Amino acid sequence: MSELELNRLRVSFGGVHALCEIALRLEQGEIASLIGPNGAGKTTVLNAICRMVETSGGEIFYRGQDITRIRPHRVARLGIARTFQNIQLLGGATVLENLMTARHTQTPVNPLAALVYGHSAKHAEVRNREKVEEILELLGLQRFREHRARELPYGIQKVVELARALCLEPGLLLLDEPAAGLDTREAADMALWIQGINQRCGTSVLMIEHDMNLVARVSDRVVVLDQGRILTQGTLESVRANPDVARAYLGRP
Amino acid sequence: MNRHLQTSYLEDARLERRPGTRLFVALLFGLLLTAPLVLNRFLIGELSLILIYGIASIGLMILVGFSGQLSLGHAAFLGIGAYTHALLLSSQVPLIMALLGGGAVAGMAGLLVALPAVRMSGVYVAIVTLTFSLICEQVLIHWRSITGGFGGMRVPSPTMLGFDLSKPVAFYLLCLTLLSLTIIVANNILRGRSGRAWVAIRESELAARSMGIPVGGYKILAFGVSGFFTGIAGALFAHHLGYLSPDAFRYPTSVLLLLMVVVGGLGSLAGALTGAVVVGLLPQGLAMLRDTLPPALGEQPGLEPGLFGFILVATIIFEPTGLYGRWRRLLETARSFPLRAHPGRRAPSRHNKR
Repeated sequence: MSELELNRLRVSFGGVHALCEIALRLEQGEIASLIGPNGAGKTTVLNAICRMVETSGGEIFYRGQDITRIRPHRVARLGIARTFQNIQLLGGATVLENLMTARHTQTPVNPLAALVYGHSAKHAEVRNREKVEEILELLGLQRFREHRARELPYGIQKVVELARALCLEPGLLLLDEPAAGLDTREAADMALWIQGINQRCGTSVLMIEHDMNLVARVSDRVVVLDQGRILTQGTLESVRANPDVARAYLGRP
Repeated sequence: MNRHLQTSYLEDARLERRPGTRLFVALLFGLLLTAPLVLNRFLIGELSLILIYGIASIGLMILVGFSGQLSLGHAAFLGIGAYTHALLLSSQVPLIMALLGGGAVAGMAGLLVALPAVRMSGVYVAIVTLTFSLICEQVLIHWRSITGGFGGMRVPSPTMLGFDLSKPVAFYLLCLTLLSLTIIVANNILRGRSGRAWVAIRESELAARSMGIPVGGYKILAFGVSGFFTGIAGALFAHHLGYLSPDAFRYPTSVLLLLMVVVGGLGSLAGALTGAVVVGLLPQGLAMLRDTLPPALGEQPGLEPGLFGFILVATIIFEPTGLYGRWRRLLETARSFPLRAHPGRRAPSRHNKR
């Protein structure tokens, strides 16, 4: 059973066909990169998987389950976490609070204990905090724990968003341009973390990225998207050698 | 200099996060408990009103300050709580049950308002709540067989286990108990799963969804919880008034409640309470001001609502974190003096929003 399967997926906004007949399989533990020129529909693919845009046709399966019609918060509950191209942190909250909030799906519901802050509520709090500390340590974010997200440098905010996605203990991680706006060193760190997460937790990753160094370092497979269609897929070398890809990026010679 | 060494993760979730806070709360509570021994009947009555405002302010704060939904019609929940409570008392329901009943009916009204309100955002939510309060006002006026219309209705005096609680001191202690319970319960909700979900929705609905938070459901819950606490406050308010009429639950009261949470500081319970104290003292201050002002200005009708509106606007422009936010920053500066306070180590967002 594959981790993620898109079957003839279509998304249209009025008369504009953002995605046409997308067919994509992601195996468990695989890291796939989605590349393509601006407006190719890369983010729409992620939004469709997260159910943040309505699909016009086709199906999406996560571990064999049809998720084409479920509500967005249910997607996260199933174990699909994402980051955003334009960072969506809780700006006024601290890094710690951001990550604790992301433990929502992993926290048992017990209204009565919550009202009196009883034993089970305290237990959940400590367990969540342990997990959060583990993730803070993994990504080297401990010293920013009490900082407000809005006040952190852009590069750190990107890492915090990755950390927040990890708090959901996801099976599939969707990253929308994780290295955009990062300098060379930060991008290299990001590559290490993505690989580390993938190896340590067996998390599958579907990533949109323009930084070809990062793509080359972490991807098992590269998928090229152009004008809402999959142009080609394979290793980075094979994709690079494909004349259609150069044409998509540079126009007709 | 902060020499406190943290030894447990639970400390971050404690009610008093700083060592001095416990002492301060204990002192304040002690002062409030002993207040009846020193203050006269009139002042105790005024103090009771501030405590009632405190409960209502917490109710509104949960909705506006935490879940980020603006309500311009909270007087309606106050009114629903008050009338329900009075009606239940008239039909011989015990005081505590009537109080809870007032809260429960107001809470259900909150859920009802939420149904259309969660389908909208921003100012449109405010319009829904405003409309709701206008409808409630008309119902209170015209459903004469139940509410007595403009003529109003008498509120039976509160008794519990044979004790008469209508005396100022006894009533004051009842209000103090209920406010304390409200603070504890509200704080428990806010520091847990639901409170965090509300803050997430306030900051970014997109992010909240991606974290698996059902945004609509939590907004509805916020309206319900907010309505419940405001309803409890309304029930106590009924005793404070002694005689209910629709006039007490019109839009000026809604603005008054909004004034509390904004002036106090959005996004914290301490802010809600600060606001309740300030707004509770305002009429007295205004009365004194009236005497000193030239008659041409001091005897203007509408001076009070005008001033309230002015304070509201001025706070939003000049002090958007409210009085409590300013206080936190002063504390921070004092703690790190003579160094500048570290910009990142300010109060966490539960305590101030911007």
